[in-house]
Amino acid sequence: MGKQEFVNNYIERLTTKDNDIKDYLERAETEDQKQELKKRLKFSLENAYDAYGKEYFESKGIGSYLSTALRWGGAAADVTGTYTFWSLGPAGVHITAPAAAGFKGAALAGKSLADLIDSQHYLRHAKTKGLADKVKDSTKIITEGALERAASYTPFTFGVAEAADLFRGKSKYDAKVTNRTLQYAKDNFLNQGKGPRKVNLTKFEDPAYKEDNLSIAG
Amino acid sequence: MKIKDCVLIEAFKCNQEETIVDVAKKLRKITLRHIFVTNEQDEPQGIISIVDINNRVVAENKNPQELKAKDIMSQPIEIVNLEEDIETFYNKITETNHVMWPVTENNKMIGIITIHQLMKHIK
Repeated sequence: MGKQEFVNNYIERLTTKDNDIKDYLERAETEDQKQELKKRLKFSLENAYDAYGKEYFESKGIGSYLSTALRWGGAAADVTGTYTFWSLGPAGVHITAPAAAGFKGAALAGKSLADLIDSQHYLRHAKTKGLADKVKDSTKIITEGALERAASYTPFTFGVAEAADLFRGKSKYDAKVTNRTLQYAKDNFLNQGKGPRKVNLTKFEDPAYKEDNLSIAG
Repeated sequence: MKIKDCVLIEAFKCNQEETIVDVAKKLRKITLRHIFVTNEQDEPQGIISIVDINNRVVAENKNPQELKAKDIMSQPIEIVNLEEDIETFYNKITETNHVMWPVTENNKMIGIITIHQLMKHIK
């Protein structure tokens, strides 16, 4: 996700769904003031993306494609395992169980490898206060996903756990980075009104490069 | 009188891990000639001027895509706390040739104080 896409996606969400931001914007007495505040929010989002999101989102290379392929391959093996398990009906599971376990095992291995790739990317490129926080985040994400992973291994949820494990897989790391970036932007924006009087940076903008974020987004 | 009684400029800063290309784009967008460099905890670590980019990157034929802000920033820098007395701070910085300093609260950078603002309040 590039900077422009990130800012466009989340400026709308913050201005319409975040109560703190909505309250802050409603304090504007005129439409011009409101537009100025929105401009400052956009600026905070751009800065937050540079500080917390850019390296993580823009360094996704071949590993990202590989982990996605492994997740989809794992999901396919999961479905095949479940289908194989029930293919002869409940009475035939003693015959189908070994083959189903093979498919489920392959799925488990593929998805676990995808998790490893994603967690390594997170450890290397996400911005936190330190490595300890990254390890804590990664451990939490993996622990949270353990139940889904275990449930997807069993053939008794008929696709529900398999789908949950697939779709929540990678998005958990992305969500962590996105939430941290948004929180930073929000704090930065809301704190501008507190403390001593300040001249906004927007007053120093060079009109020739006002829309410079387009080129920064790459 | 304290620093918090002055009018500050909103913090113009970049993260120490940002590339020089991104730092240069920020300096291009905002007409200030200096940008402060902060760490993950938002604590000021250094300062980069447009001249630094010229002298330490362009003139040295270094790759601005690979260099990070922390690689070329000037440090250490004088930091002023919001609660600090203006005259005390002014006496500290009279020997330097800087024109702006980062203002912190609980060690986090919250703004910039300029020499013009300081001069206004010095008796």
